[in-house]
Amino acid sequence: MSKSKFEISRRHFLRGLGTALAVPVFESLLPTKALAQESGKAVRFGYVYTPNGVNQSAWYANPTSTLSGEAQLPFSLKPLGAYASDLLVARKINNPHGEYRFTEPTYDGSTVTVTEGAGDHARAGGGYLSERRVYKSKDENYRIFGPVAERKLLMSGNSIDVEINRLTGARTINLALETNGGSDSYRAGYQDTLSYRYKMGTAGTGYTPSRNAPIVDPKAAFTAIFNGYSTDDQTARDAIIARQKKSILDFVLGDAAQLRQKLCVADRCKLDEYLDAVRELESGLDTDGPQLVCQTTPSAPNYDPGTNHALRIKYFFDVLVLAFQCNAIDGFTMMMASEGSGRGYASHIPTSSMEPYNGQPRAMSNTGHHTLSHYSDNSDPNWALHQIKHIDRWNAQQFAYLVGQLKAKDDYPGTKLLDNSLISFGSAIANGNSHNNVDIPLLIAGRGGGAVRTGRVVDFGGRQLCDYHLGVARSVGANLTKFGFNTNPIDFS
Amino acid sequence: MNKIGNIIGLAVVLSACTEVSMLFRYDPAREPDAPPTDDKHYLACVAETGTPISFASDVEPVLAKHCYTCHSVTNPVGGFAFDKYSSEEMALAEKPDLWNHVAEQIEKGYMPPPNRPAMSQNEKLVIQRWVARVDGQDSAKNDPGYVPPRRLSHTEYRNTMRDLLGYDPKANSFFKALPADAAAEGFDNNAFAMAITASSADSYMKIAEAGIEALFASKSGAQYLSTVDCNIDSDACLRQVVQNFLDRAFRRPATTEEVNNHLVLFGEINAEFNDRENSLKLLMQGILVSPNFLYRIESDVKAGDHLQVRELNDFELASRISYFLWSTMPDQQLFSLAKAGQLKDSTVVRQEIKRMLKDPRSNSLRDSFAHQWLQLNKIDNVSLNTDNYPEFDDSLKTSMAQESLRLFDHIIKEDLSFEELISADYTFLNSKLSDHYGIASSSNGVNDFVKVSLASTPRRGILNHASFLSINSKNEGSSPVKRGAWILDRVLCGDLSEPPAVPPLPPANNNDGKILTVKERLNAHRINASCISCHAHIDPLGLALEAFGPGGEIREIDENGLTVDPTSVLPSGESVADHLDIIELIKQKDDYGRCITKKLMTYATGRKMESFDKCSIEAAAAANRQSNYRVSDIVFSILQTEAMRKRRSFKVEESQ
Repeated sequence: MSKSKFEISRRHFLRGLGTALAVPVFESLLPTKALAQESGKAVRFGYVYTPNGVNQSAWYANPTSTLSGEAQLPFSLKPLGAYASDLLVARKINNPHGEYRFTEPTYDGSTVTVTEGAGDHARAGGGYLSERRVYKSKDENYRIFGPVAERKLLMSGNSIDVEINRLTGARTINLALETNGGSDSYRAGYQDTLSYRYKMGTAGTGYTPSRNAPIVDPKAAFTAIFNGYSTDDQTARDAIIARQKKSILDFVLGDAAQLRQKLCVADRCKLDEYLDAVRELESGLDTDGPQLVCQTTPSAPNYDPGTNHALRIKYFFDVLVLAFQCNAIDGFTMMMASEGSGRGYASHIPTSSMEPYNGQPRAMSNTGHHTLSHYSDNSDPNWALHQIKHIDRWNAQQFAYLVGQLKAKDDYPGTKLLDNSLISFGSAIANGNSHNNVDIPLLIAGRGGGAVRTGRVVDFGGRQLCDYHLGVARSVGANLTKFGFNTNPIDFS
Repeated sequence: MNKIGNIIGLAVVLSACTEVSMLFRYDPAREPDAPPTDDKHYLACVAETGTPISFASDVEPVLAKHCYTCHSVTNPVGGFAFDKYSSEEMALAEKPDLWNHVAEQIEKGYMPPPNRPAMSQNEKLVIQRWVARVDGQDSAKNDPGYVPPRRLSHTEYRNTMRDLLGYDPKANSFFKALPADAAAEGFDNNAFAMAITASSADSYMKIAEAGIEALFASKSGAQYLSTVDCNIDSDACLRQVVQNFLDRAFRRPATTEEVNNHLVLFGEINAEFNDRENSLKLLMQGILVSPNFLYRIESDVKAGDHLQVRELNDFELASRISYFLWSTMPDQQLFSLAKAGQLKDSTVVRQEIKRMLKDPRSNSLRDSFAHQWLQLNKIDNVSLNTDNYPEFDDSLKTSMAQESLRLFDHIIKEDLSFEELISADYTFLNSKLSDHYGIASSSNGVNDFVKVSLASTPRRGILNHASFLSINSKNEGSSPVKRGAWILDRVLCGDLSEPPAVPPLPPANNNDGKILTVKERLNAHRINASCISCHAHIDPLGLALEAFGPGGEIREIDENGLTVDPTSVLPSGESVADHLDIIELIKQKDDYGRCITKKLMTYATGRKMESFDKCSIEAAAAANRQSNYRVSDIVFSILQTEAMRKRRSFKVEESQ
């Protein structure tokens, strides 16, 4: 192999990013439309999240089947104008997981109505990608399973990225720009995490749903993806070390199994998490050689993002594009700010870039995004709405950078990365003032390997977000048949 | 201060479990019966006598009389509908925490709300006795609680690696890539919340590799290995090295079997490697990913034995003390004391506490415990309107958090009373804060914090720190609700439920052109019965701090141009003049002492404080009232609780 090429062991990443190795063969091999028809190659997916809803009047696009330019996009989406033909803007998709009162079927066919009250931000963010809504209570099991414990029989509660991983082995990473202490009555973390893996076996002792904690340091994201690669110039000594590490891990696994006998009641135990983790690590150690090729040795972006919000976003995006280029990951989730974020945007949005307000230039205040989003509580609600739409547009502008990079980079022969990607962008909340979850802001960039017919604004007529996630899963090759109570995927073609 | 004797529904009991006296929360005007002779805290500590309370014949009539009006299937205010439970079985089938919550609400005086008839003392007792019974409190009063194997938090891991190897992984990129620990019950060291993935196991492996290399390369590492003063080419020496390392890494003497097994593994590795030093390195690397190192293991005698309780041994106690006060492994002295079996001797433990609090390693109480308890991470989210606060930058925000941490640290290191946190007439300022507050100091710059007297100012304690005041403000102005709720939640451990779907505050500018004061707006906001039950307790605390603006500045005019009015009326109808009254009140009452005890115990045990812990918390708080909750006294009392001295095995019933 040529030294100029950088090779990565696929197995390294399978273990390195904490993804499950147990892929039922029959499921992962089932053909899906995208993979079978077009390329047979991997389709990447991503979810980019913005908090606090949007200024709806400046965000909503009118349905059209010929979306091709900036003129057809509303104010807040104009930064995506150059990529209009690569977008599918989704209208009239609702997120019932965000509602404070809801009725759900239970395992025995009856229904239960629950009123959760305040906590809209944690509920919306925590339930956005998950097939299970989040419940608040001081009791952990109630938080996970809701008012009827047996409802755990109905669904796993995993988030869609975890489901895709389960079915296809897709390697995913979770990122966030900030963490937020979160609401005390909902689990800490619901406001800054999109990805959850629920382990039924550990209910009782391990009563947390496994929150796939996001990486918040952009440089650490690079490390997590690219460090520890194997190259073909490993010395014999390194090979011995690799083998010996395996026997060391076998040894500690033996210790742990003995401890487990002393400490654990059958089939539920905190130590099982350790056993699972180390077994997964151990089984990943016998590498079967480099499989994936990156054209250049990946090096971290050559700037320091510091604490600058815009640069940190850009850095994450640069790492993600590099990871897609090197086939080092297949999917990601990223929160551009935590749900309910009080971040101020004055330093990012200069007056010169803004529309005049009442005919006059007016500088953004540094009022936090969350406070602004409750525009009717602001002394001048119109001024708050004016600022919100500029924040929305700023977010779209950052996202446009990612789209542009994906569109610029080569992928499989004759295609660009964007052709084989499906990147979702939006918020769980539609209106930040009333915390309304109807017609949430949502769009797809990229053709998903052919599964997504772009250049359109489509009215989906009130379909649920879980149908949308099902559609995403099917588009990227996961034969998922049920997500939450939903079995009918949205077809993006 | 007697004028506010009977005020807020904050204070609960004045006494420990055996002594019950007049309840602070009682409002004689609302209470037709005699003062209580019993309460839930008390019930938690004694076995119930007499006829058991029945749901159908005792509890349901009380609910019907006092609760159904607002909490019925047809009108489920706050999501509660009590008329749907017609039997004890049905009442217990739904939310597990429901009735504890109900009992707390009644106990704290939040329910029934002030505009509804009050419950008689007997009616309250019926509810409390019933909840105590169904909650199993009376039978479990000596329960130390179950804690699963507790993975070291990232902070504990880092410190332990530092103390074990002389290697600080802080800068190691794999350490930085570890997914953040999730917080539960307010702290990121909760045993139940500590997850591990293959990715983090991989990181532990790689950090261990770097750490072992550093140990072998360093002078102290060489010294450490040479404490056995031998050459690892000899088997006897190797055994000694492995034994020493295992003892320290596992924080207890390794068994002969464990040492033997590791030597067998060493042999296997070296058979291929033929390099004793590198084989030893690999072996040690493996020890650092063992569950015995990464987790704090306290064995059960037999798995699954229902409620089997045992005393912790000295080495387990040493780890409990050390991770509580230092967030790291026991040092040589603690090990020696454990070996000598002296950690159950009160005199020795008291001496150790004093020594450990003075040690720089107790910084972890400041950086882990206080930082999370006081929610100082939220300073990052503060974004005051820069038109009004041009000086409000990241450096000032960091300084504000530092001020609070430094006051806390001062109290810990000097072993003062925790009361000083609330009432200190001094603080710690750097040049930036000096300018911000307009209080002269001798500080020479941002990094130079100096102790400054506040005697000539109205500021006292942490509730007048810019950190707390700005974190609990809105971007455009102060927030009496946030501030009041924070005090109730953090300082007094009040049981606040989440507000129901919240109607927004009316705008300051109403339609008549009159500008409403914040008090008028709050009053308009809480006419609703479901609001006032909590807000009657929250708002007065926050309103008393109105003389402090959103940046923590002292002000006479608020953000709406109105003259500040720090007076407020407590639920009892009595009045508070300003923030000093509130501070005095907190000092006088025991809720604060009980609350700091509870928070420290949550942090120390790594689990939620359960109903069966109430008695321990009561006893610990009561024992330290005389010293105004001196740090070393509280720590000592906590170490004497069932929860810290013992453990019990897993209880199968807990799975649901």
